[in-house]
Amino acid sequence: MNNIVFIIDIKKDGKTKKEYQYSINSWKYFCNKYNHQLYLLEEPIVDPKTMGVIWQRYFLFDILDHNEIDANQILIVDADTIVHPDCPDIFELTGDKYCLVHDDGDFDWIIRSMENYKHHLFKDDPLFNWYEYFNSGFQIVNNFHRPFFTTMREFYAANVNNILWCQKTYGVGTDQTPLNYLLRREKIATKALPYKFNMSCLAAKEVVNEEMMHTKTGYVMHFNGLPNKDASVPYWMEKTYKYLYG
Amino acid sequence: MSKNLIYTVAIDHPTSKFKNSEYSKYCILSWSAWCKKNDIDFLVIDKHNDFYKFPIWNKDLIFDIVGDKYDKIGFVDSDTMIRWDAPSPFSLYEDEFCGVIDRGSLRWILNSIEQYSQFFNSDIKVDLDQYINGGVAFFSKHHKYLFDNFKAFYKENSAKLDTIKGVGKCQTVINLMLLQTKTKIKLLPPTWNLVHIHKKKMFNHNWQLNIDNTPFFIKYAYLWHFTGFAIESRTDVMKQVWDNFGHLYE
Repeated sequence: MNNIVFIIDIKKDGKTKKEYQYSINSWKYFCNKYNHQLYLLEEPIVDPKTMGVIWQRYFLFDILDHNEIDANQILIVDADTIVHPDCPDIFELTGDKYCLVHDDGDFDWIIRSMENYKHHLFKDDPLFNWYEYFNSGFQIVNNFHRPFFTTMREFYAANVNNILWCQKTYGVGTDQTPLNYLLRREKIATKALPYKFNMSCLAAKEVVNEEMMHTKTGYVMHFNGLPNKDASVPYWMEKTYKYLYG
Repeated sequence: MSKNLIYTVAIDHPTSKFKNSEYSKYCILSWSAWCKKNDIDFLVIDKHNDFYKFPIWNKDLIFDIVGDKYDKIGFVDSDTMIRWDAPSPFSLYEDEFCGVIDRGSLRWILNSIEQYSQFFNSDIKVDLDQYINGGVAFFSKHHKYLFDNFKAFYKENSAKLDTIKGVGKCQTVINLMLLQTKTKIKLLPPTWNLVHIHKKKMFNHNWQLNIDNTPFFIKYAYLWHFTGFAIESRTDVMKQVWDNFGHLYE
């Protein structure tokens, strides 16, 4: 059975973001190096007006089944990441657990998200440690986690109006905070991989610079949390890819 | 006498641009009150030893001062404060050297590692996911060897060490020395050394729910480290914390 790297690259207004291709190419390199398979989700499963594309990653197992892909482990990774060519084989680090990386960035946003979602959607769930909040842009799962993905979708279906209201009113994320609460509610065994495997909010760490220091700090660079993102994310992703891969 | 000790170095010294006592008084107020409440001895090193050029190195002299009197010891920088109701960190570990990961400025850290690596064997490599902040550490009397190593290291390299600028003094040396001596490390959660509070945006409170105006750093951490922002603001921030919450230490 293959291990899969799964990336959402859905067209909006007939085109995808150019910089996503750099991400895809870097993960293509990773897959070739370790003999894994890359899977791109290029069309939404349901109308994005009904369910935002980010939430649609929880159709993962249905997508694989539909395409008759028998997967061992699957890495779901955001398309605003670039993997370093020296990255070790991530799938060997999982111990077959649900693997994620703790977010390390804007804790005002994270804590507001935790508190606001708790207040409106997770009233009976305990607040968990803010420093153990997972970023959903990098998740490694396996077949054992099929039921949990169903749980995520069922939760969405049962609470869609409230979820959309929270997203719109507070601007504190889409699936990420519900994922954090539901992983704990469902007592899913998780493993936190080190920050180097999903380096969020790199700009705040002062390494996104012309010396390309962000390429020396770890393996998976996540270009989120950059100021002026419409210009800076395409710029840094292109520059980083070309620096690392020529 | 308690079996555990917290100590800090608070020295006004001509090499410091800002007078330490202006902000360290709030550190001392919070730690002394908390230590008294928790039956932990508290020591302030306030005399500079001329063996060193910069006062921060005085922390390495702790075993010369207290010998083996204490089972467990915590070092805290003089720009830290402890929350009034924090539990004891001494129950969090046994024989490990404990610290909190610092990735506030990876640029600073990478530059610092590059500078200080010259003093160590080239096979010693720092893992950024294990790199700890040097301003708060908890250890035991069995770590005396480490402090002996720090002193010997300074003695041997002081001429060069004292000229290094902009990449810290002790922090990276501690990290490299821990690796060199193969010391067992335990990483504590950031609640035990909340660095770069402004970058984490934890001076904020939840203005959206508007239920609780307590700043996040107060609400969600035990040990606040007022570093990583302009030193000019440090005294004001620490004073504000004490003015607003000092009564809770009584």
